[in-house]
Amino acid sequence: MEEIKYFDCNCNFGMRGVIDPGSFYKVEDLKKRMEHYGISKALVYHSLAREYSPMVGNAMLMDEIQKYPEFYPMWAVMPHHTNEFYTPSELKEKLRINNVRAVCIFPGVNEQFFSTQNWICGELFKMLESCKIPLFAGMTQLGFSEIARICTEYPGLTIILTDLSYSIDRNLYGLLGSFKNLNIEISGYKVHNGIEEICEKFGADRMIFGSKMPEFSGGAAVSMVNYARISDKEKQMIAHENIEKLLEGVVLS
Amino acid sequence: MNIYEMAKKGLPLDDVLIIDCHCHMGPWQHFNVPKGSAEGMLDSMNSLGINIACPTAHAAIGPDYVLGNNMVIDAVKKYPDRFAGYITVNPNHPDDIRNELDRGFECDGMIGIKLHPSCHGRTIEHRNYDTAYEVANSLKCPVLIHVWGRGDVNMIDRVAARYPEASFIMGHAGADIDAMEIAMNIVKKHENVYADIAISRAREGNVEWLVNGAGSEKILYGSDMPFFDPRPTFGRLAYANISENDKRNIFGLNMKRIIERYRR
Repeated sequence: MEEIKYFDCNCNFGMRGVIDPGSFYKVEDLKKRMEHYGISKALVYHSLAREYSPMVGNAMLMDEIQKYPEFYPMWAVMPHHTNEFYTPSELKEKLRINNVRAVCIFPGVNEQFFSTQNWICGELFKMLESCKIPLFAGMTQLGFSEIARICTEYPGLTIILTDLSYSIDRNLYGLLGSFKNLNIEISGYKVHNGIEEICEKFGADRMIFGSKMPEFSGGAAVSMVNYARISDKEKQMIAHENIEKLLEGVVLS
Repeated sequence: MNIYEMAKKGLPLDDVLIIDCHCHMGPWQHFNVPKGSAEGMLDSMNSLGINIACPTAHAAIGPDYVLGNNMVIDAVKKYPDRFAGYITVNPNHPDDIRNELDRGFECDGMIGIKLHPSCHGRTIEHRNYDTAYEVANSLKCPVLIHVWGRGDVNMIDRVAARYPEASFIMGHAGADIDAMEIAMNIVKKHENVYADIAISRAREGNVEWLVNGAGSEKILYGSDMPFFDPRPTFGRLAYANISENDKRNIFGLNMKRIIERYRR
């Protein structure tokens, strides 16, 4: 097997309300763990952008990753109507200035608690779609029907589903078969022989490597790909090529 | 190459004894289980270098223990060097527990008893499990129990004291962090209690923390395969910042000793 280049598209750092023993939260520790697991680049968000305020966390992210060229910023975004966050046009300009090429949302009831219906997120999704900015969204936060609706109404919006589980196939296969703009981040996708099945049925271009460090194990994540019974080319696609291609396709100007 | 270096290259750990102490087999009600057969599991085992898997069938922890036990018995007869099975009993059929255990242990490849109190709607200390514990105690065999939360862990503390000759394996090590903290104390307190690391919530640094708290001699590699894939738990252990000897203990040497104790 040729050496796999890993680009982690789902990790974070920063203080969290819950930190399990053995885990970490500092940016320098994320860098060290990445080296241990053989991960060379990462798309990262700041934990405070999720657990506290996107405006505060995104700013801290940009400040803390300055000296780490291997870290690429991912901003948490939310609706603008309450003036807690940028309008879509303001956001577009901020993303351009900061060269932010991916965003994530946490609309769940126990998280930032907002609807993703058009009357709340429609303008935001249209802007992301026009700029070809991939949107990372948790499976458990959206639900299957809402994922299908967003994929249908914004066919140019690339959605990367995170927080999958081993129990998702009966719904996931239908979504992947119906919506070409839907991809999955695989840190939670622990279905037995699941990566091999997705490769065969839908293609390796639908999967993107993520570790979900520091909550989840980087060793667990890389082992899913290192030991996958697929071709070396498919492993490289999952590990780094797919996400690099998406980020290169972003139009910020 | 050491285990870490082998894992980075995606090579099977052929010179490491790996006994997966916590496996299942077959389809499951709630979700798709690709390649859940014995042969499908062997593909996964071969890619990682797992020598022996210890299964209980999903059917057995679910509605039909006879159907499930037969599935496992068939597998251990067909692949005697690769599977060592658990006989699963259901406390809702108390009059058949002794018969089912006798029937199961007639097969050489069956090495222990599996209990899933959560799926079967009874607690670990329910009186209907007493027969299973008595048999395990007399045979000195392992009892793998689904242990989820502080209440379950505390029940293991009491049951293990009542049956000191049986080896108790706390499946999932209690699952949540609070329960794991108690579990670490209990495996240190009782010579006959172990904890396995099978859990889909593959926490960063968790293996190191468990080894520091309980010692590598009381922790077992269990993957839950094919309920979910064995690679995440394998990777948690192979990449862990612990010694090579600790990894070998957890991967297989501890479970080898547990099985040998039964077979002596």
